[in-house]
Amino acid sequence: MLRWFGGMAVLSLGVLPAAAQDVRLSPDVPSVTITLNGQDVVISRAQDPQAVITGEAAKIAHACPPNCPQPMNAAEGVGSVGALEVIAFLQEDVASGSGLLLDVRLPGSFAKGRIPGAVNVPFATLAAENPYVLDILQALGVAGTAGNLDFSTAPRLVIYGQGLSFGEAAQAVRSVVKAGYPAEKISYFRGGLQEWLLFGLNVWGAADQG
Amino acid sequence: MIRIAVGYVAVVVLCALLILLNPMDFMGREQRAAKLNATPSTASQGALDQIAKAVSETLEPEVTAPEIQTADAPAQGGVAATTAAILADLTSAAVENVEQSTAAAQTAAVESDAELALRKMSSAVVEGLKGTAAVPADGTLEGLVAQALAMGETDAAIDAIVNEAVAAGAVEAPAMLRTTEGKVDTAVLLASILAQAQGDEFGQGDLSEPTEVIEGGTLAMQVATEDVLYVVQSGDSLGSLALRFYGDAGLFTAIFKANRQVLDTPESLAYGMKLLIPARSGL
Repeated sequence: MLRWFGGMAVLSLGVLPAAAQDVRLSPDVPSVTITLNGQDVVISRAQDPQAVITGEAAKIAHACPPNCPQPMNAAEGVGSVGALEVIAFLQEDVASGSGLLLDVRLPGSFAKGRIPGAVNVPFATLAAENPYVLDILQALGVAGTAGNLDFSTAPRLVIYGQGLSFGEAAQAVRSVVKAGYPAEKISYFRGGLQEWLLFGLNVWGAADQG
Repeated sequence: MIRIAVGYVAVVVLCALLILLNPMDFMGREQRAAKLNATPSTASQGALDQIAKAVSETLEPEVTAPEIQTADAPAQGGVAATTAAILADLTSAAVENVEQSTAAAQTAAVESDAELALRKMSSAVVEGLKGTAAVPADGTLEGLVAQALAMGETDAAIDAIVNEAVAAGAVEAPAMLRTTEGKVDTAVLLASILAQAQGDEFGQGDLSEPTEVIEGGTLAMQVATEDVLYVVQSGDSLGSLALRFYGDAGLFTAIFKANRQVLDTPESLAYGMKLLIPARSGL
């Protein structure tokens, strides 16, 4: 948590005294640019004062079950974070290769729209029932072999899904905790894509390839 | 002296006023309790009721939330897992597998195919993680259908979504789901997902009236207890025939194999073809 605030402070200092941008990330930060795999990723908010959420993301009456309002926390010891912490995480941890932002929705939803810089790891592939879950963990950066996993060099994770009324992110959090991932290395972005869109933050998707 | 007297009177009057206005503060504990119990004004009683009601209303969702939440997780995973498993069945029981014809081989193939779905998704994840973090994974039929189901879309809507995506080349559909019109047979897809989810083998009933040639049309189950000859109707797919005659769309390979002399590929199914449907017991 402290590291993130540190990240935000660095972020505030590192930004140019920018052009006229009325809708900012924070009073001093109009937008941020992160370099991921040699690619510049800009994160900014919609500037049109009339902008509203439309389409699928605007729907509110999700059938429960299965899509139920989510409690604040997903698992013991796993912190819950908001959009600003996710941006700081992208800037500090993801950009330096020490963190991964996981979108745990199904590939179809991921392709339609996602937080820039996120990687798709559908929640079902993280479940213990998946015979290939070990391959996934190793690909994430967990060392060791079955029954003898070493998470000391594993990256920090921020896990998100569709949002407040969808359980896939919480389920994924519990799956990785169950697999042995240290809770302090995991954060749960409960608001997910819904919160991201609510702030007018830009997404990558089928229409816009970033 | 007069000043002191006036001051004293003022203090006494003040005390009296205080006692009159706030009698409760100056009562003994028993008296207070008695007063509270004995004379609840109707107004305050109503207010209490309202507060109690409001509190219980606020508490209720909080109390039940964890239960809903735990019930929710497996249900959601269930749909996706079932969908993935079904689609894996349908997709991977590809033409190469057709040579396996014994019942045992079929069962074995179906079991490993369920794993195949997860393996496919897993390997996509692993590849995604190896490559650039920003590269999107391709949409899959699994994801499409599971998502549509989760959103409570109607069958017709799912049919439209699937066909649109396949036409646009966004996803690939298994050959056995291609109808005579070249569309994707989502009815079969959904029926088999439903059957799997309910865990019942639909199609365990008796054969009603064995006829030599069955003219298609209805999608009602007609379990093939002996070999039948079937005339392909418009809109049929190998999957729909397997579902109709065996109650399991995954068994389409049996029909395909029995009709290789007319079918080069599962997609070559055409209106008016005469197909031999092997008896279910012989599979």
